[in-house]
Amino acid sequence: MRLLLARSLTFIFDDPELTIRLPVARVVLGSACAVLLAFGPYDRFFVDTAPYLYPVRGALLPPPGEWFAGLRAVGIVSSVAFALGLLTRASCVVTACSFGLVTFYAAQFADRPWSYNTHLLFFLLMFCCVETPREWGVSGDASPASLRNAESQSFLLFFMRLFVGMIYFQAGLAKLLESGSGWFLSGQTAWSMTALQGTALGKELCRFPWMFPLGSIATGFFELSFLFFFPFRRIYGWLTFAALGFHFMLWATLGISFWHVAVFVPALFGPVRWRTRAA
Amino acid sequence: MRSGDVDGDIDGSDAERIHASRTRHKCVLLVFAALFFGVQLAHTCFRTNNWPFCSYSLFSFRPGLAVSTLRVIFHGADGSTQTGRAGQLVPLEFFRAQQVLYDVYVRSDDRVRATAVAHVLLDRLNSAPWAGFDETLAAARQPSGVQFVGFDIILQILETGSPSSPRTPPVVVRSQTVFSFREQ
Repeated sequence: MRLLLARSLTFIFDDPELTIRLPVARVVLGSACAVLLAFGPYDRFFVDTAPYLYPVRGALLPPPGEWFAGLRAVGIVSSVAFALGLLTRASCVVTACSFGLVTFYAAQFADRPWSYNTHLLFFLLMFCCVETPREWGVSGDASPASLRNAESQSFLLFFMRLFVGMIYFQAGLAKLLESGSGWFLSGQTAWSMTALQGTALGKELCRFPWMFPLGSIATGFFELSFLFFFPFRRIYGWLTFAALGFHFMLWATLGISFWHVAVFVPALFGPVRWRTRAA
Repeated sequence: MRSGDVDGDIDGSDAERIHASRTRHKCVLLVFAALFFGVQLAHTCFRTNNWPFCSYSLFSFRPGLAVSTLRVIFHGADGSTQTGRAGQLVPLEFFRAQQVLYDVYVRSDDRVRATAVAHVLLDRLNSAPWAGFDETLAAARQPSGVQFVGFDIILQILETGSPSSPRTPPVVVRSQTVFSFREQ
């Protein structure tokens, strides 16, 4: 039991891959936020329809106005700066605030969202709380890493990995709770959604209905088990392959990639070499 | 610096204080993680969403052999029509676009709001059509560049069958116009 506890604490607070993973995660996070703010569904639709669709009663903030475009622009600039490692503490804070506000407003217009991209916001907030390695950054200033900060950095990496695993787990659990094992065994949901709104490839695969229960079972296994493979670093490469294959399959058949989750899989689980203590 | 490195110049009592501080720090982080992911998990268990926490229940439902969906018929100034999806009228992700149209035109009786929103949507379609990105579909466009003068929102019930008794392509069993708008 003590050995298990010690290994768990080492896994969480003493990750050997920090100097590679965190800068990569920072670049991925900043880039994902920039792409979403620049090309995602966050345009003047919310300003134009605010008088009719924004729930004013009980609202925390006033309706979005003409300043919404400026907020979005600030978010794009700051997230690019964060990705490049320019004044990372300041750019991270500004990105978190602007991205958070933009996505907050977007969420008020459709209250049954099913899925958010707020994992990006939580990652930004966590990055704001730790000093991260400046490798791959452009700024010249470097902050000294204390023992506690190194543990915080390792915890940040663990938090992001756990979050990604929890997204998959929650998605699988939601299917199990709402629809039971029939969701997976019948393949009905995958079948109906692909037939209605799938891609050309997805609709072509409807000629082979037997694939849908099989695909649904594989989806359930992947979503519900991903989290439990965490302690086994040696299979991180296989986890990455499975996750990317899952996202590719969704994109190819339904046109939905959840790319803002998928991009973190190679960053957090992709195979890397790290120096051991002895080396 | 790796977390296992220790400064050899620290005396015993300082080392104990640092060790205690690090232990408290780790406990705080672990409790935070437990609470945070506990709240996350609760949203899935109770099927609720409170931004920024989410249930991640996309596609968790199990439809019957027939499903309802919204279609949009776009009317051009030259008398042409084209049929499209909700996401080609509303510049949001396709599943949220459908939800907005359901809320405004199917679930609500507020015709004043419905007409006002229709004005906004049509004006946006004609003045600044958007490109598709990820889950956001591209705006409906006229190949000839002729402007749109209105649209109809159609509630359709389609039979898709099931993998054991497929209906391919899906068959429209019921179609009802829930809203019509023409620019004056």
